Amino acid sequence: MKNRKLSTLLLMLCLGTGLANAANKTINISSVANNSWCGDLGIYNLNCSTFPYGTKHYNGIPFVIAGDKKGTENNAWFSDFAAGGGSGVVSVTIPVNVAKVKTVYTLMNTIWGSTESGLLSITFTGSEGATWTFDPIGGTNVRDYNNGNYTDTCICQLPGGVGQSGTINAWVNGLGQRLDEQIYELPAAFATQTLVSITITDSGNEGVQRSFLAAVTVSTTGP
Amino acid sequence: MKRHNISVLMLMICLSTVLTHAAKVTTTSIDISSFADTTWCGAPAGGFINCSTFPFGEQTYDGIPFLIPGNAQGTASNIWAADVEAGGNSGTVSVTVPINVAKVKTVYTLMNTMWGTGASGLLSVTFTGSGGANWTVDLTGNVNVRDYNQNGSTTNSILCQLPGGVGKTATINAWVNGEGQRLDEQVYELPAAFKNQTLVSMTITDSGNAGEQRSFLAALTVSTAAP
Repeated sequence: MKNRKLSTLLLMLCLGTGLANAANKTINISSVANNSWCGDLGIYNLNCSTFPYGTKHYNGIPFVIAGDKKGTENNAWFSDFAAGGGSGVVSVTIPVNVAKVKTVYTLMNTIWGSTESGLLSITFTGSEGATWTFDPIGGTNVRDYNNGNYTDTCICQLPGGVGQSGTINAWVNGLGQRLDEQIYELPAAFATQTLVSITITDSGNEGVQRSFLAAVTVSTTGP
Repeated sequence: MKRHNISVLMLMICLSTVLTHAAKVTTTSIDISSFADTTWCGAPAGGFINCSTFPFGEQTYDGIPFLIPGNAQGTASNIWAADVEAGGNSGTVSVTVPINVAKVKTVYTLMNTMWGTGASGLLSVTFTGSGGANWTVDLTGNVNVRDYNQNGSTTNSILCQLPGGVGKTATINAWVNGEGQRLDEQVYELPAAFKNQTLVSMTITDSGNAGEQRSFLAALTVSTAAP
């Protein structure tokens, strides 16, 4: 009887370890999404009907992009829409609440684009005081969703270690539009904490740069 | 008693699965020094632009370890260059690199071109398995490979993605010197047929020409894990 209980306990522990290895968790951002790909400002609609929604896999990572087939639901958080189409600082905080996160993946691009610093930041907040703010720079970490006159390059690398970030492409429609994937390898302090939230702060302007966030996925493994 | 046996059996299966997963640090850097035919500062045309900035030895890019041949004195060859192999002329040249690693899922190369074109049919890579598996990938300029030197007249873009599944390939950047030169990383996710075989070798076949496109290989690493 004692042996049986021990076997069952060990089996539960083992299954728990196995499940912990299935480490990617998509975060639903539909509650903060504020516009659709074909939304009403008229500036997002370059081939907007080709943009993805639902569960997608890019570079081996699952993402959930908000939205529906009819296009009636919002797809992403657009900082330009949050700012009412003007200047000013806007931000959004996305609750995550996942323990021992090592890597965060975002689908983020900009409308327009600038290589100036200080226009965009992303802050990761842990349950025990860990915090990491990273400033994505246009032409390196983020770029215009539309290939053309603004920022068209990205670093095209994975992070080189903890406390670093890289960016690669996730999706293209073959018509000049794209979504890029930022990969954040969190500092070591997060390894023993719960990642409580991610905050994006955008200080851009129309005609300069405004970011949008389409999806977030976290992982307890390295990139 | 029967339930107990089932629990023990399930426990053994579970432990086996977890341990298999845990024992996964499986990258192997392949030494290509015996095929390297020139140095960064050697032929052709007196060397690469800013050749002294180019890396050698053990390097890690995008989390993957690579072994680039060469030494600090610059006397040992660093790369296999198709243009050197062809004597600076046209014609098809190739190199076969022995690998001999079992159950490889992913192959990483550091490869760029001198010059560059978006034309197809100039460059291919073939992977050969011990049990008959065979996979040839045609590499296209501006998609899978690009000129090592940033300039407006040749190839300057790559796919900038990881492979989307087995039997697919993609390219990201590995190294830049901040002066306009770069090394890119091709990531090959082998077809499922290789899973139970030994990856015997990789063959590069280059049909370019000087002034058009010629590839070079700086390093090769294989992994039994997916990208």
